[in-house]
Amino acid sequence: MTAIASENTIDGMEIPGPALALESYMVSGTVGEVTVPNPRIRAQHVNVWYGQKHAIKNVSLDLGTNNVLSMIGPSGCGKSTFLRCLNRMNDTIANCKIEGTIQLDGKDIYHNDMDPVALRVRVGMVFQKPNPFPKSIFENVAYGPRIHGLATSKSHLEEIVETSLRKAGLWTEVKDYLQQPGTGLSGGQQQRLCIARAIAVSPEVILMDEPCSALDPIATAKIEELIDELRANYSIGIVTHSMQQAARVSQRTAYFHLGHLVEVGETGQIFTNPRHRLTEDYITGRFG
Amino acid sequence: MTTTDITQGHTVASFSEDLSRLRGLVLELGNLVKEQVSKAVLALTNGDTALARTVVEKGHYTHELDLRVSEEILQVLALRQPVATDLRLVLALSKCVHELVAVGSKAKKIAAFAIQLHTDFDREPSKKFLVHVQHMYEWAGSMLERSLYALTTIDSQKAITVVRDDDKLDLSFDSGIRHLVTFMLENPATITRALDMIFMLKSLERVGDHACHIAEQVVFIEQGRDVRYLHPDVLEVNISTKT
Repeated sequence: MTAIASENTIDGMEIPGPALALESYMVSGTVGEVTVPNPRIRAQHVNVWYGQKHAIKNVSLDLGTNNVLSMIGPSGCGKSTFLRCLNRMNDTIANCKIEGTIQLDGKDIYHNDMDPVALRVRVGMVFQKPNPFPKSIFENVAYGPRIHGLATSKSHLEEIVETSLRKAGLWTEVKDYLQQPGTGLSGGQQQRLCIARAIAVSPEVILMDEPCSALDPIATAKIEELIDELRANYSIGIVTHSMQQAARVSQRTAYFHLGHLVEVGETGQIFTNPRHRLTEDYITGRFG
Repeated sequence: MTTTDITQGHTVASFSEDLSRLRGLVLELGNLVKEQVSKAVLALTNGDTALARTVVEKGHYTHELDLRVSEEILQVLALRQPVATDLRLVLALSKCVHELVAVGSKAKKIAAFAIQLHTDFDREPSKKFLVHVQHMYEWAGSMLERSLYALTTIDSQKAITVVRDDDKLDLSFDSGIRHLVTFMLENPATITRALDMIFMLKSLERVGDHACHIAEQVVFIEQGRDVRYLHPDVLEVNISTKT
């Protein structure tokens, strides 16, 4: 599939290039290639309403295999809402209505036979604020594999916990304190513990909603390094308010504005030569 | 094209001020070297060695501006982390400064040659040679001026006229060389002096090249395309396709 609209038009209207874009702030389609070869997640014509509020407007976007996709945009643009659609986190919101299709490895995640709990095992989520369970570090990681029956024995469970903590870059820091409460760790360690918890159930996709916004630069750097390492085994979607972070960690970047997916492209292209004026204005800090 | 000043419009106004100041410094350098070239050529054609000396002595101004611009660029990159148009502008200005410093160096060479010609040899340069100088300066000076205007207004269309005119300057240079070769063939005793004249004409030809390089940076800023090494005809097609 190509972009919703052709490269130069949106709903029949011409999209201005950078040189001409000042004339129009019209947004009703997407500039750039929304699809990727071999996608892990494919969202097509997704619309989301919270009651009367149309929060996501006809968004199509692929999340590639072993690829980091960052979603940027001003507050309220719909990027977190879109992210939450990808593992049905919006199901619990009473007045939320979702249209369109979202496929994980070719299967519709909103189909009746898709178990949301099983889906969330395959599509893990890391939130803005680290939210370890009020349990030990070990139990925080072991909880998921245990309730989903992923461990065949105690030693297998211990192996899963160690592997997950290693992948999250936390093992050397906590291996001697596994029975200490997870809430006793620093903010950055707690966030990596949450990532380890997500990894422990062997997901295919990890979604992150502003995972570093509560962390200091050192902890942020560790998470970013971790994201880069995790990319080898997982597909990652990250919502961030930090454009530098999006530039550093992702291969593709999607810019959302007022519920529309305005532009998506290679991260290098988005940050050096965005094709839509709205993207340009946002990333250069010209929204007033 | 847009008429909006691309340095402006940031929510953080001081960022706009930084970019505006940076571009202002580069344009100040541009105007300085443009004036230096003009004075050097005038000194040569009028035999005004005093004027030529002022050009040589003012060379350090270009170096001072070069250092100031480099410092500003360093600060903007470190403190503002520009992206997109802002990043392209900063990178392009950095390259333009190198071009302008080189133009200043050419002006100094021409001025030094004027002093040498009107002092050491103690005789007027041939009128025919001065016609070549004047003709080449008209092209080179105009190209430099238009490239600076294009940089001020970020106007790719204006910039492309500069690149297009480089062929005309080259033709003028070739014509001057042919004349000087004839001059040397007729009287081998003039070879040393004629070689100096060739280097002088080459300096003017290089001023045109530097103007072209600045013009190419204007296209990079506005269009986001690196058009260096493209033939002017291809460049023209690229620009026209964009708009």
